[in-house]
Amino acid sequence: MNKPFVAIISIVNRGYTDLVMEAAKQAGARGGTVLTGRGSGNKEAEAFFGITVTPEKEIVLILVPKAISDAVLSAINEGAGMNTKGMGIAFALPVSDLVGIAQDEDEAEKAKEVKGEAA
Amino acid sequence: MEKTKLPYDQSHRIAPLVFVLVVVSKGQGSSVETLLKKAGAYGVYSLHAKGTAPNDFYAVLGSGSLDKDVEISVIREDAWPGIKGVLQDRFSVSPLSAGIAFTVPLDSLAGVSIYKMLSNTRRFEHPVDPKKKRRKSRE
Repeated sequence: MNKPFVAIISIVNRGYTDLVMEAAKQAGARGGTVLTGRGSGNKEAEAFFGITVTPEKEIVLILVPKAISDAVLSAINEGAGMNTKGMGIAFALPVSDLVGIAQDEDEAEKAKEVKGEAA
Repeated sequence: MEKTKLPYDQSHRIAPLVFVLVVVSKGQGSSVETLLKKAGAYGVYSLHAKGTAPNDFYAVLGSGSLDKDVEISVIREDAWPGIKGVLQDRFSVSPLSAGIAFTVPLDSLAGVSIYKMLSNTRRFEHPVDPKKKRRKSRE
């Protein structure tokens, strides 16, 4: 893998994935995948603080180059973090290898040329 | 003299494991699942998801569907290059068969039995299948 990538996982309240994607795109991300999930918040804390943690969650998975991962994470934290309605958390996992993303413009051009020659 | 039992990681060669995640268009998850299982994955979990990329291709077709199948599994690291090659070929066939796959290295896990299960030691450390052996002896 020429260019290191990271997988940014963001967990937000259901219906607020747009906040995550908007923030991530502003920081340079291209697209993501949304999975549905269910949170298992601390009931005692909910009763103590008098807040309700929405159990329905959505998980947004975004692959970004490592060079912009910090910017994307902080943008998500600002746009969809705990101080917003999304009440989201985000973290990054190291990606050791990946398939399906043209990692480099030159590489993509080379691939097109090879395909053209083969055709 | 009592024999001291060596820890599993000292008495066996430990193969590094990786977490694999494959995102493909809806309906193509089952073939990826078959591929992962053939490559030695013990279990593959299928999830349904939605893509968020503004896809011009779908816009031209007038189809707003960005439904995805997500397949997750844990495999031995040495099995990944084979899977990667097959996926690369598959993703390059057409925009409809495009997808993304990536691996995340596993740092640690709890329990030898879990390692044995995830790394499919029954398949990789004992290549001779006892059932096949029985069949051969009958023949």
